[in-house]
Amino acid sequence: MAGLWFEPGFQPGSPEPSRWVPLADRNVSAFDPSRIDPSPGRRLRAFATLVHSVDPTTGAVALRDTHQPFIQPGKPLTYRELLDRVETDPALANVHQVLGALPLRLGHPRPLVDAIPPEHQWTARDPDLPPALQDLGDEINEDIREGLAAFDNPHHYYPGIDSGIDPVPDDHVKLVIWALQRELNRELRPNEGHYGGSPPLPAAPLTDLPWHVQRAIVERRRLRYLQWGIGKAEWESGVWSLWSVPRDDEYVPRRSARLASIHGV
Amino acid sequence: MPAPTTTPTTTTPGIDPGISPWPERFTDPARICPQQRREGASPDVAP
Repeated sequence: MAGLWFEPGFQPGSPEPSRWVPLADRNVSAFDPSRIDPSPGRRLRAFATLVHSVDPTTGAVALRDTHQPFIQPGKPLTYRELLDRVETDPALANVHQVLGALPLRLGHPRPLVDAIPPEHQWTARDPDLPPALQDLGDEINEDIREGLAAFDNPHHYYPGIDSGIDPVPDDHVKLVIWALQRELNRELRPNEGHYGGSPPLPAAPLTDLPWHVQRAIVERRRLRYLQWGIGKAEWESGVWSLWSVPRDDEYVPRRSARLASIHGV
Repeated sequence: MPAPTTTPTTTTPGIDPGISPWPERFTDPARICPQQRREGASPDVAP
C-alpha cells in the first residue's frame, strides 16, 4: 500500500476513479482528507472527516467511529446540507455539543513537552492530531517542505509571521525544530519515482537551515494552529472545537492543490 | 566589421552544480504517510 495515497484516483477495489465532486455538493459517504482532494472549505473538510454514511438509501449518518445514526432524513444529504443542519437544528444540539469538544491528541496520553529532554527516549509513536485535523498537519509539512528550498538557495525568500500571533521566543523555536525533526527522522521515503528497492533518503537536518528559516517555520506553525482555532488554551486542555474552525469556504489545502495540479484531479 | 557583442554576466543564487537538489538528498516531508504527517504537527509541543 506504500505510496498509494499519492494517487488521486486510488479507490480500493475500484478500477475506475469516480467523477470528482466538491464536498459541498457531494452526498455524505466517507471522506478521507489524506487523499488528494482539492475540495474547498476549512470547516467543511474537518466536519466531513467526523461523520460517515451508514445507510445511503435513507441518508442516515453517524459520527466517526460509531454506527448509531444521529440523523435519518429519508434521502441522502450533501456534506454542506448536513453541516448546515448540525449548525442550526436544535434537535441536533447533542451532536453540536460533541463536535464542540474533541480530543486534540491521539495515542497513549503522555506529559506535554515544554523543553527539549536532555536524553530523549525514542518511542514507536508520538501523539498525533486526529484525522479531522489532517489538513493542519499537512499545512505544517508543506511549510517545512517550502523551507527546505533554503538548502539549495541561501537567498530563498521564506518569511515568518509578523502579526497575528504571540511572539515566539528563541527557546521555543529550538524546541519545535527538535520536535519536528523527531518525526522527520522516524519515517523516511525513497526519492520520487524510485520506489522498489531504492534505499530511503535521510531526513532533512532542520537545524542546518538558516536561523531565520527555522524561526519562520515555527512562527508559521503557530499561525497554522490558530487557523484551526487552536491556541495555547486548547493545547493545554487537549480539546478543540469544530465550531472554532473558521468556515473559510474557499480554503483548499496547499498539498491537495499542489498534487491535484500535478495529477490532474 | 561590427565589434562583437558580449552578453552581460548575471549571477543567480542557486545550488552548487556539484550538489543535487534537496528532494534528491532528503526525504520530502510531504511524502511521508498521512498518520505521520499528523504526528509531525507534534501536538505534544505548544503551538
